[in-house]
Amino acid sequence: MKKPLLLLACALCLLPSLKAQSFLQQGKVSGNIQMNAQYYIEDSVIGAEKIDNKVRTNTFANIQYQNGGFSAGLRYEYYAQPLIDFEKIGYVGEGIPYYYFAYTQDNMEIVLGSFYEQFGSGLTFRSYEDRNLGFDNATRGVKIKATPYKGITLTGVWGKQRNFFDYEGQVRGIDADISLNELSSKLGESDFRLRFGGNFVSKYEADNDPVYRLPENVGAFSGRAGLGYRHFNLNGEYAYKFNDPMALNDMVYKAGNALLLTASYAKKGLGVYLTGLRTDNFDFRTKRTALLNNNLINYIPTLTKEHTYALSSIYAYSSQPLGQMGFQAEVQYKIPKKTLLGGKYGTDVAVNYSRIHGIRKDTLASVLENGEGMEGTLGYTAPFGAAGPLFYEDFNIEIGHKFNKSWKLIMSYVYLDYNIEVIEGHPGEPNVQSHILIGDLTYKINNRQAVRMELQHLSTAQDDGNWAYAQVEYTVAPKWFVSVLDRWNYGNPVESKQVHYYNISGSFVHKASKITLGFGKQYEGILCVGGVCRQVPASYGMSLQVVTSF
Amino acid sequence: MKKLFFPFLGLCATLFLTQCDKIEEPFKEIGERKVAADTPYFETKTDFVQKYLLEDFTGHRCLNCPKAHDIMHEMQQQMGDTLVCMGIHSGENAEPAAAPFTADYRTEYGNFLDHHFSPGSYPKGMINRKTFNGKRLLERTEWKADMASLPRTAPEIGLQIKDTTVAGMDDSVYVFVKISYLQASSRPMRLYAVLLEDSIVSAQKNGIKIDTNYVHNHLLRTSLSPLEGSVLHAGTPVTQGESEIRAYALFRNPVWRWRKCSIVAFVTDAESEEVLQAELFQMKE
Repeated sequence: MKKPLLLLACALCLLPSLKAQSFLQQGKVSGNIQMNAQYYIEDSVIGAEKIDNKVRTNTFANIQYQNGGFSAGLRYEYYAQPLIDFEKIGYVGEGIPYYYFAYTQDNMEIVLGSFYEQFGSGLTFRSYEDRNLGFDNATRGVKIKATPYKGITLTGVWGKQRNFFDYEGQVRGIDADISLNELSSKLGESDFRLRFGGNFVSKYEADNDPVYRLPENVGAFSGRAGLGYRHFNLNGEYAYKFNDPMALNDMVYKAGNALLLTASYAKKGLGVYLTGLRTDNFDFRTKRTALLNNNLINYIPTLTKEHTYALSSIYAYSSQPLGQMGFQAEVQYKIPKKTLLGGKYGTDVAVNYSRIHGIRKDTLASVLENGEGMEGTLGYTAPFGAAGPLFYEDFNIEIGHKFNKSWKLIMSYVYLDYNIEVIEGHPGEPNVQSHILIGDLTYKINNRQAVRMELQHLSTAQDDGNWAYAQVEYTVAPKWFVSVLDRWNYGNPVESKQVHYYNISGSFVHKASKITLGFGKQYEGILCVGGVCRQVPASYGMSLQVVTSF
Repeated sequence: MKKLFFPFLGLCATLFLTQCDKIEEPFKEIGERKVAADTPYFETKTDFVQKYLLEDFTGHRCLNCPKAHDIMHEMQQQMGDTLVCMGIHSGENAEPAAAPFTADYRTEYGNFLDHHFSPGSYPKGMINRKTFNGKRLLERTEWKADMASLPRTAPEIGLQIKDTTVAGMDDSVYVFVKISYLQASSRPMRLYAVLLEDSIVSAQKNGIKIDTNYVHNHLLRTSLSPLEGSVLHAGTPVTQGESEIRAYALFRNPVWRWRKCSIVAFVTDAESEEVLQAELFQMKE
């Protein structure tokens, strides 16, 4: 981990000292530092374990240097005794896992070191990070991005992928993106928009397995097209992956594929969105033995609404790349001002529906005959339109209305049907059907002070039963913020688990720094961002967050 | 720059499009190049003894399970290494719960067995998956008598187990099982191989008490073979003296303490599901 610093020091030493000084002075340094710390208290009722090292922290600092076309940066991470949920997923270590040197000139960009990149919608390649999720699959190697003609962008990547504090595997890929509107001046002036793209990604992993004959180079490609006319947009991407037996797909040699289609219509006051997705055996990782979110090369976009309220996000959908098909539809409409329902400011209405099934997998006759399961075979066939069991259904409606300068109300209703057996791996448990009601009321006292109150209720006959939730926030802009909340599992069928998960927190902002202090209980569940999820263990204690940027 | 565009594109496409291997059947290499080269030497053996498999459906929140463990321990004392025990943590009693029951010892194979044999209340046991007085799932109080009632016959199958590792693949172990057919037979058979771990200290309910330092032994960790087992001798009749070797790859979970682990292999009659032979192999660090 000292290598990057050494390289940076050497590079600077090689420059004549005066020139180096002058070069450094002309540049701009920026960055940010964040520390999340927690003091843990054992609580056997909620399942918060006794932790020997009671005080833990996730701390990181980003530093970037920019001077003309040259830029360099690094991230130091201190996760030696990380928060318990990060320890449980293996995010433990300390050092500089992310550093880069980049140079941009004319139509070319070269990055050496760590970088993030995405081809198309990410079906074949997406290198990104999400700090809350504890996910970071940055690529370390080389990236070249060139624009030989206006409207044509070529991107090549080659490197290893980050897995916590290690870089593993070998990934290489090339992507071409062509915008006909930029390429042709005639099209550029028209209302039509047309864009094409395609890529090929391949990974290398040695075959040392005595049982299976494994492909050492596994390739995947995708083609995409986007068409637009005035307010209307239609996009599609199809991806194909060659044989890639791995632990997660039971060593099945069948090729994988994925199809993503989106259509949208948006104009002032109205938006209509429709998305369809089907994936079959499309988990793509640098290591065949990888599990959970480790060593992922690609990303399957989520098809469901990402709920932000506490109770509606308990049962969040986790993308199932090995087999899923579904769609999502959403209509957003603003009832105009000065109408009966719109009132003085208008009323926002959003209706959203998504439904995801597994795909029907017909086991090959040869597999049934040999009776040894699918391992080491082509496994199954999956007829394109044939659906399997229901994985997830979400119907929700949200209405937001501002009554006057002081009062604003958002009301939501959410219905969820959640296949807990598939999504959380609880064998034999029935689907969880839940109805959630949410009220979010804001009262603006004056230009600086506001009070916000949330009331939520979740009712279900399955899993942990009913929940109630209440939260009050008081803000004195721009410096102070205080929040008190309670999340009560009053309907848990086990009486001893009818627990109040309360939390009290406050934050203070000074210039570019913010300090937040909290105390309370965390419910054991799953945290999902964009369909990528991880387990969150129960915890109890005090938390401290310090964020500053420069 | 523009002149270089198409040659650059062509070069990249060629470079990348060739980075893909398409494997044709057969996908497994058993009996072929790599396994043949890596298969350890098995000495010829004829003096096999009949061993018995006791599978115990258990769970850390099961009040009476420690009593069953005690009986199992007594039986092992009497029978020595001719009794192979396997603790299957499955069902409601094995679900993790509030501390101190946060451990989750359930496995895919354990869940499969639970679903397949449906033990219902716990503890329940199976001796060689045989039926005694019309039932396969036995109460703990029946285990000793039912074991004693089994006829001591010459074994039909002999099993030998060895392991090997491959340089550069430290996270994997390869387990080889040699099946010796000691009698001619036309019955269909299946081979199973599982990993067990001993001496795991964690909480266990014991009657009205909670023992937070309970020692869990022969706990099922994973299955090396397919859940349905591996079909032996391709379902065709075998003659006395024939043998075959099966290989399994095992990805080492860092949680498992290797010196406390063992591999258990057993062969069943594919139709009656009765266990014909069992063998245990202690792993080394």
